[in-house]
Amino acid sequence: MPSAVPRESFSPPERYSFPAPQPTGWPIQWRAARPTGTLGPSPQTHFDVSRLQVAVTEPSAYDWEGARSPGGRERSVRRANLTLPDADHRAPEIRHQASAEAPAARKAAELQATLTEIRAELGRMAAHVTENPRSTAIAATVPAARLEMRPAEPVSQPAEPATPAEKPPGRPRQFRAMRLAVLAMAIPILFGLIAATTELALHGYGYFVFRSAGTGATQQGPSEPPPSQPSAAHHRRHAGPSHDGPPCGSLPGSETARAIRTNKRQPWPSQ
Amino acid sequence: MAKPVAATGVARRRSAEQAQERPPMAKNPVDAWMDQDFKFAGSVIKRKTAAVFLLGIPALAPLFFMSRAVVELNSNTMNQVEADVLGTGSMALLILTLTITPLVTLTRQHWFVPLRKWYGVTLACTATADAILAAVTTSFAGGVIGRLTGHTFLLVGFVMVSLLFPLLLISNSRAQRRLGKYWKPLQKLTYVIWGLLFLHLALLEGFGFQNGTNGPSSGFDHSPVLHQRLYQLTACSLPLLLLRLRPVKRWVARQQKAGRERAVYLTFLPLAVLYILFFAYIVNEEILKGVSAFRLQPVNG
Repeated sequence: MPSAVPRESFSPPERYSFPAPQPTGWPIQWRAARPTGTLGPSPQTHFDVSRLQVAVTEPSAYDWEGARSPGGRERSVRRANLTLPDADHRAPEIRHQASAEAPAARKAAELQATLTEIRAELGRMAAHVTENPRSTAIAATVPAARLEMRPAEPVSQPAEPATPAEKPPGRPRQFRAMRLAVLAMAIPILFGLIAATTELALHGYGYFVFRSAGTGATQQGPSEPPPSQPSAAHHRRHAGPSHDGPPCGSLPGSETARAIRTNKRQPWPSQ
Repeated sequence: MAKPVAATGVARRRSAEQAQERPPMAKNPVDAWMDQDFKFAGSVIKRKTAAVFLLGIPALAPLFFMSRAVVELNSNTMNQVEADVLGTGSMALLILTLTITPLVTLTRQHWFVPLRKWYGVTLACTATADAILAAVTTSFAGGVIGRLTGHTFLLVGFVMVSLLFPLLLISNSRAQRRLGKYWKPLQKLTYVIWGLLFLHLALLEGFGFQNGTNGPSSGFDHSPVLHQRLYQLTACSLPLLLLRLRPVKRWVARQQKAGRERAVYLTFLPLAVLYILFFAYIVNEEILKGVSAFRLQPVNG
């Protein structure tokens, strides 16, 4: 007995090969899961197979009599029990099949939408050209030779292979930005190294490597005398036997003296 | 309505599917609490936003402390405490930047992760300001170039700033998009800066201390060890380094998964105490020198 499928029930497409409602008098309705009582088309644009559920509903009015007949209820339940394991058995297969076909269907829909968009764009362009003949006139002034030089563009794109496009073997597009960032670091560092080498050549190794402890961190004591005026401390160091810095003669005289004056050379901390 | 006979199996399967769809890890309760809103002055603010804002504001302190001396061109202040305020501030900010990741490992909370970027940005700004002011105001021979690269420690500092400034430029989401997979390796240069800071401080102050004259501010409380910057950095770096080691991270994750979070906290408690103690001295010096710089009455010590 064919059953009238209610409005809210889902009728699956043919390719999913859902089992059609069996003419048993007890319709097994395939419904998209949603709150009961909401009639009309489902708000979902894509059918979500994972939410599919099987529900045994009340018998329709036309077989109400049969259900009320003695033993009818037991018979119906038995039938439902026979049918439901089969439905449960088929559900994963159907779900798998649907999920396998969904990307292809989505891609086809996207392609269709793109084609429609391109068609509309071409239509607009054609309308613009026909409405503004001046632009076509400007285009006509282009020498014919130049126009002929252009290779003819293919009208239709060749069919894309089914496999995803492989990455080009070259460097990725982010490589350029990375190179720029590395250059932004390397140039100042290189500049610093060149400047440091110059300082090393100008003032000597002792001046460049060692320094008075605390200099640069916190200025200790009064400010330093200008380089042109040798300080009294400098002379005392030369006179006293306890001069523990490097001998002035070990470096070019004037540079060493300036180095000591400028940095108040002290022995490296011994503690 | 007839009772659904075979729907129980389907329902059970559905609930299993829903369980699979759930995220693998439950949200930390503190994170969940931080995601809640509260009303403040008529507007709805997330707790997380407010907390991150309040924790991020102190990062501007070094620049704020020196701002008055720079605006008024007070060379005395800039010459005497510029390196202390901006240099120590940069060190503190680097430590804070590096603290975020171990803190996530330890607490499994994520609400404070935005602070890493903010501290990094302010670190780059502070270090660059330090380099510029040092190049202009310090009394090293050789002009601007000599003041930037005239000594080994200056050269190392200059290299650090040269690395930091491009990192600052690529710290936005647009640069992140453009750099793609290269962004993270470039940002990992922060670890190089971390290592260079050790070298910078070793060359700046040596590996020892000089009876209270080497460590700044040690003249006030006569505890030169705690004021030695190299020691401060070492003490603060120890837990940060340890919590970055892969075996340690794995051990922490195992313990947390087994529900023994207290054991993790107890294990790292001594290191945390060491970190807090030395970091408190860094902050103490920063505030002391910074306030004196803002008052244009720089303190030596």
